Amino acid sequence: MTAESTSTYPNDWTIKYHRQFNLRRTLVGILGIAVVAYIVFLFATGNLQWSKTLAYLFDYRILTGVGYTLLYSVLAMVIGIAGGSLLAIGMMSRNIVWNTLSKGYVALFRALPLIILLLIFYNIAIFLPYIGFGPFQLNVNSVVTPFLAAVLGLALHEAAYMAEIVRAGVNGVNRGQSQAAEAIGMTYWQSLRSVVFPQATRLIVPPTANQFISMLKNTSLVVVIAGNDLLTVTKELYSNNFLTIELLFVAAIWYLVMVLIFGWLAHLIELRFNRGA
Amino acid sequence: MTDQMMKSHFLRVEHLDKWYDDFQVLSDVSIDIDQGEVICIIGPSGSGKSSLLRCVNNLEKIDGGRIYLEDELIGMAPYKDGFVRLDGPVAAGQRQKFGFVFQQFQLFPHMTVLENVTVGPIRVKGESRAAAEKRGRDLLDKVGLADRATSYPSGISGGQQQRVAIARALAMDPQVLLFDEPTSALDPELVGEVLKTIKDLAHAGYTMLVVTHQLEFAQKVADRVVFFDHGKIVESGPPETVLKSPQDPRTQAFISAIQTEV
Ligand SMILES: Nc1ncnc2c1ncn2[C@@H]1O[C@H](COP(=O)(O)OP(=O)(O)OP(=O)(O)O)[C@@H](O)[C@H]1O
Ligand SMILES: [Mg+2]
Repeated sequence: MTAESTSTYPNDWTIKYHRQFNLRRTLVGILGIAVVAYIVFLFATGNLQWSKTLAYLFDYRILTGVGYTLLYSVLAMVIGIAGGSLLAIGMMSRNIVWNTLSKGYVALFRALPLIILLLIFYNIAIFLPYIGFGPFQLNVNSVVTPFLAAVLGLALHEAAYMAEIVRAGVNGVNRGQSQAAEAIGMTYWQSLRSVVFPQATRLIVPPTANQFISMLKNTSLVVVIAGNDLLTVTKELYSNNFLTIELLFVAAIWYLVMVLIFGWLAHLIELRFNRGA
Repeated sequence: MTDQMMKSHFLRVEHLDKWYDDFQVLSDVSIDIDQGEVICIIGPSGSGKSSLLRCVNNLEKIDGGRIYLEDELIGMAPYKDGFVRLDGPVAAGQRQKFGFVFQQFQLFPHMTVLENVTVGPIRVKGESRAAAEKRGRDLLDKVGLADRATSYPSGISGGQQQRVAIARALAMDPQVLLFDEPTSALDPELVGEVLKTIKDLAHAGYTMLVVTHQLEFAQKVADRVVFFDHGKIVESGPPETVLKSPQDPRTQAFISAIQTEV
């Protein structure tokens, strides 16, 4: 193995490969570099004040927007996971009412564009000014802030997607496992809780981490109801100072940073969960 | 009804029918089993042996016939002019009376060996962890795996996994043990240790229904051998008769096929 042993036992059968010059490959490579260089050139010479982008990158208003974007993502995911798990159980239930309701919910909320949901929740007071019964009446207008509308819209949308992920996870657990659980006298719920769900987690967590990353980007739709998220504050800033592209780049950089960080975390989670079993 | 009550056997399977959609997997299957009796079921692949066991402990709904354990109707209850299928805690309570050992072991992979054995007593019977673990260790000792309590199923051999599965079934103090080809998924050198464990249980007086292709085992352990084909009982009787001088040509063909398969 070592250089020494090679010299002691010269091996005439080894092959030393060289890379031969290939004109086509070289030209294709040069073309790629040229395209990238041209794009960089356009951005560098365009009507853009890069210094402004830098200046706004850590502006406290932008940072607040980043905070809201993260908050929306986390809240919507937490509610979405809980709701999606219930929906998944409903979809697998033999109770025809819950089965139909859950499947209907998933079909409906996956069909509606998220932006429509956000607008509907934001304007819900128009058709539902008060909710409650008897003396307990709630003025919907005073409750449904952009914040609440944003969380509800994102979470209810997410729940539909999580329902399918959880269901796929549960279905991915060998049928024999729930039979074995039932054979030692567990009820359906006990077998779900102690046997099926713990094993389904392995299948559920990686796609859920990916959902979180999509969610980070989807929160930007909250801009249509002015929900204080990163894109909303970005838009407010540039409508005042007209540094449109500079500020959009600020937002783009932050989305990129968040997605890269959480994408890396998701990758670690995935590795961890694939290692078990 | 009245004459059935008089000659009441411990476990009665009466005129069982089972359909999967439009395919009849069991037709008119009747077996009476006394306490402590060991029945071995043999028969070709797809003849419905596994289905029979799953019906006996109500893992599957039956379409005709009755199953009684100690005169208790299994899996259903009379209702109006018919029956309702039992589910929920009542059905779960009945299933506890049957220990089931699967061909593919079906240990819970996210639990240690000891947890596999104690999860039933703790979760289902509500026993204290300490009591369940003490009993669990005794059972693991009985199947020769006392030193593997903290291993995970993926870390032990197939034969050991199957013995843990047996301990897990025993932990619920079942009245009947159902084995579905317990050694078919094992490498040949591991078959013996599992068969020995089952044989010990037979000698300890457990009532057992064992689906197996191990004719030699059936010969030694069974009180009765049942030959099954196309969802029907073709022949049943003491092992010497069914295995050594089978009457029905289908039984003869099956047994000679198994014995020449080398
Ligand atoms: N859940 C099911 N749905 C539909 N058909 C089924 C189902 N389970 C079993 N069957 C069919 O019923 C027949 C009997 O199956 P079963 O598993 O009871 O046979 P078996 O005698 O145990 O065979 P083997 O020796 O291969 O285990 C087979 O043809 C099988 O394809
Ligand atoms: Mg089978």
